[in-house]
Amino acid sequence: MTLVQLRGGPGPDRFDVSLPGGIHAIVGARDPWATEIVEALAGLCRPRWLEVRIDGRHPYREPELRRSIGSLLPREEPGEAPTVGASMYPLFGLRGAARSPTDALADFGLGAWVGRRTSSLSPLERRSVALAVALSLPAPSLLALHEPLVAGLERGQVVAALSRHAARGVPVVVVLSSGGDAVELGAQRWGLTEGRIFPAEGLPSVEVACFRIEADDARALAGALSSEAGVTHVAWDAARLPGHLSVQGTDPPTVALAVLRSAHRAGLGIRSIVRERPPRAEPRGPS
Amino acid sequence: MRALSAAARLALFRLRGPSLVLPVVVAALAVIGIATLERAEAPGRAADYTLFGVVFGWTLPLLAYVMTGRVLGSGRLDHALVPVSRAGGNRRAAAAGLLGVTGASVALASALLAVVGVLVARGRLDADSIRDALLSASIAALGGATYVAWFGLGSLFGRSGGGRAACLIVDWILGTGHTFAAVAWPRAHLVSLIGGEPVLGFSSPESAMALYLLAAAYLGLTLVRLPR
Repeated sequence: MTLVQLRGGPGPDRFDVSLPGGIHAIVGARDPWATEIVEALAGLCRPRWLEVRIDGRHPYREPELRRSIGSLLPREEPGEAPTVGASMYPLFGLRGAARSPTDALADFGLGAWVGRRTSSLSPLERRSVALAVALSLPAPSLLALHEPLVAGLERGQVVAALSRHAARGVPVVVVLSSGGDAVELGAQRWGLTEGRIFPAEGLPSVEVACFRIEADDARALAGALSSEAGVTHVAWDAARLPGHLSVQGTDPPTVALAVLRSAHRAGLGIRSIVRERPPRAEPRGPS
Repeated sequence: MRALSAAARLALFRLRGPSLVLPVVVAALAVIGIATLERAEAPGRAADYTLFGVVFGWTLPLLAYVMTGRVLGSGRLDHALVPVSRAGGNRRAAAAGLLGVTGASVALASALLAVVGVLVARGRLDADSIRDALLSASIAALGGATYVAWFGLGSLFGRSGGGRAACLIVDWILGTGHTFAAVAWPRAHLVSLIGGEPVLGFSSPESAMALYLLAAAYLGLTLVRLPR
């Protein structure tokens, strides 16, 4: 199993953090040092205040190690070739990837983008491409991702891909602004303030709003809720509790409004909405 | 080799477009304008004055500076290599590819400026003019490539590669002499090669060799200083 070590700190308070395989959420994406942390993990820079080692090796100095690191930066630059595919092929060649850029993008429903002009991609679409590339690495030694759940790819697919890598013992380090996203990922939580990474005990607890809904047609309501941005999780068990849905999100009014809006839009009746105690998320790690 | 070719492609992509054509056109117009004026003032020495002044004195180093900046995105060399290094490319090989293509492009543009300068200043297309133009073009090409290596090294210094501007200033200040202080800068040897005062009494072949050695040294230092 790979072990990532982060040591240092821009101020007098130093930290020494070891991250084994599994999902680690560093909550504090808006911290001014967050970008530099992700770049240092990817081996793109070597800040004086931060030492990064992956199994004792320095990603900044070792191209062989960087080849197996998937990364997503807050701001992805446009690809430097006329088309998205043309910008990706030489870089896939460098990584010695067995899969083509088309396959990597097609996994996330972006296969048609291969022929698009790089200049036509919006900043969000550039992040989508970068995340698809990072998640397509067959055997990464590390995934260092800035806000992967808001990079334009389908959340469920991203969560599943991250969990798959984590289950294989890959350290997945995600920098997030939302503690709720960390809970959704079932991640080991860390805090980030002014460049200092600290264990989750120092963080305010994250509220997860959980509602049990009794509806005329639970399946149809689940479908309607899937497109709601404020809803992070929908569960429906037709065998045990027919007609009931479990819906989660990080903001209670937003979740409740999303349920009502979806039911109204789909023309479905709701018999009851009950706030429930949220299930306790276990940190996700290698199985 | 993959990192080198990927970086060479990057350089070619970054060198495309009107923002690059504009400086070359402006430089060519400046050379044509000054050469025309020189010919009107002193027809016998117009080519010399044009080469010493506008071609080798101003446009060649400035064009190399602008084109290098264009390829490096006005930042540090290692930052400019991020697309390749992020995919696991060796930065040293990538830098060689990036600076190699930039050096070749600047050499070509510099040679063109020298040819234009000589032919316009002489105002005729005879064997002497062509010979002079070709000789000046070869010197300009060597000078352009050397400047790119020099600015590449400078781009490793400073948070945003500000060392590149310092390199330009150092060359302008120290390279104008012909004493020991001038020996390490391209300008002094270029001036010597086009008929100026020799640096430390170097002959023309020795100055040409000095330029080759300087380019190799700048590039070598750049690659040594870059992490893999």
